[in-house]
Amino acid sequence: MKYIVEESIQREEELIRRLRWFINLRWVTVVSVLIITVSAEYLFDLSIPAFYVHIGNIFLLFYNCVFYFYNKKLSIDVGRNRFRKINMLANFQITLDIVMLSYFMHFTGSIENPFVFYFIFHMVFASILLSNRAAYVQASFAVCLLGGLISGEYFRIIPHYHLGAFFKEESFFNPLYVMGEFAVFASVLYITVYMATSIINRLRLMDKQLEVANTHLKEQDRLKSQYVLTVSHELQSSLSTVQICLKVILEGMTGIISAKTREMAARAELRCVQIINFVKDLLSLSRIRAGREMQKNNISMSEVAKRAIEQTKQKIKEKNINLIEKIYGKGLNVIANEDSMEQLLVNLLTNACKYTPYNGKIEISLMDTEESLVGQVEDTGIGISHNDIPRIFDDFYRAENAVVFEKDGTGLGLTIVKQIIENHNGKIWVESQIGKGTRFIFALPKTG
Amino acid sequence: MMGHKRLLIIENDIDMVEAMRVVLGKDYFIDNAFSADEGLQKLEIEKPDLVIISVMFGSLKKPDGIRLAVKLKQDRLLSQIPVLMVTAVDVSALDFVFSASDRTELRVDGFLNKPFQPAEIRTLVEKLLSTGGRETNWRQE
Repeated sequence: MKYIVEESIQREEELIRRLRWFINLRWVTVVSVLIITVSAEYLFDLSIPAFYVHIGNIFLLFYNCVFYFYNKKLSIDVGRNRFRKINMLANFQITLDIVMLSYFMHFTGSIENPFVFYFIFHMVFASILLSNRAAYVQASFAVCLLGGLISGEYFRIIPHYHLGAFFKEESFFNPLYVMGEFAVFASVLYITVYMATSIINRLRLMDKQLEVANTHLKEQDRLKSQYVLTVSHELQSSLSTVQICLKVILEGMTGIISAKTREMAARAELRCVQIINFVKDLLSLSRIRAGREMQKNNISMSEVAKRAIEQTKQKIKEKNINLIEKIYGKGLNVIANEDSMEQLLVNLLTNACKYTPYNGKIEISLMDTEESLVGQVEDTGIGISHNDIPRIFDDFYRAENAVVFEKDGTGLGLTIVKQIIENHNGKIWVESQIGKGTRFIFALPKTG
Repeated sequence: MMGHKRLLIIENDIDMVEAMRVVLGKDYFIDNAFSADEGLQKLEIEKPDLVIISVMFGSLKKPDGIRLAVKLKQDRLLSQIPVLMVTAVDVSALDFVFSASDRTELRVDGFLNKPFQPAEIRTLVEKLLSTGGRETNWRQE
């Protein structure tokens, strides 16, 4: 329901935008009519009744002002009949324009005036803005109006203003000429509407198909996420139960156990933890890839770093690794998803800790540059070989020396890191030397 | 003596209940319920000192545990009982299932992610019982 409402609001906004454009064109028309009339009068001596043209032009200016303000009002209106109002405004504007153009035509030679083909523009507008039927009605209205005008002039019910400079001889009263011109004019209008509406219909159909496809995709995406969540929940629930049952045994809560039983239970428990971590990483990755609910706020990276360090401190301490923090600048604010940023730093620190031997060194630094926030996690670990570097961010990939050094690992930690960086339009790269250490450097645009 | 305090564990995984019983059984009286309905009934009758509720995604469309926790905190009498929420999926993953308004409704006193260490749940239960709980939104935890 919410979706449909959003869609219709989008359509309304589109209509309002087009009407605004239409109104802007009318300002141009007012100025052009003035210039053409004045030059026709003084430069080319076309002997047209300029007074009436100016009156018409003033009226055009006046109603365009009215439309301008009304359109402005509609653009902030949130009433229920908004779409109907906008549609009526579009219909009314086109009708009024057709009347005005006919008025100008009457005083400037009617069918003799080449500007008569400017009706085509109104037909195109009508086809874009209105329904097909309304566009044909507008075309018929224009044809009738001009037909009436020409007939009136031909039968001398109303005066005909001859464009002397264009046509030396009066051909208007030649029935064949008038009828021929008029027939061409009418057919041009109908053909224009036909062509424009055909194109518009196809576009509208494509729009609709896209909309349907989009809804379908969103639903698929939701189902997939639910699927992943259900599966990982089931796995994690069962594994957690297994783990806590083993833990209870290991902690002696169920009585004294033999050393061998303890060892086997400890092995089972460790495997449990590993597989739980794997499932967690998998879920994490699919959530980040889905990119949903990624709320980005203005967050302080120095605060996030503090929390990430707090989370990994224990493991780093266990290996007697020296952790150096170099957080330059206060706050280090960036527009980002807080949870993701924490995970990014935790993963980088955990990774560094995992592949750094005892008594090593890890250095985390964050600094502000003009447009981005640059972070760096450097270790004195085993390093990554030249061949492995291009693949370390791939799903499940673990470098050969990494597997040898540390059996436990999901091969997803760095994939998650990379995905988080990409979700934030940032960049990450790595510099490493086998046996010396590794440095991960990332840059995040401060604006998200 | 802490042994007088009563805990109610609402969890549909019997193995998990048994494990928790081993961990907490020495210090507390423990009762359990396998469904939200049974849990609510027992809550009203027994008025335990603390309730441990599992998220229980029996079916994703109806995560009973969360509905129950929300309901409990809206109840005038029962809302006094501290609630410890236990979940196997990272709390932030619940974004998948809940809209923002649902999320703000869920205010419990403690969260614990599975798997947890025996010591962790013991400490948390002890803390919640001594302070009487302090509601937090899951984001602030």
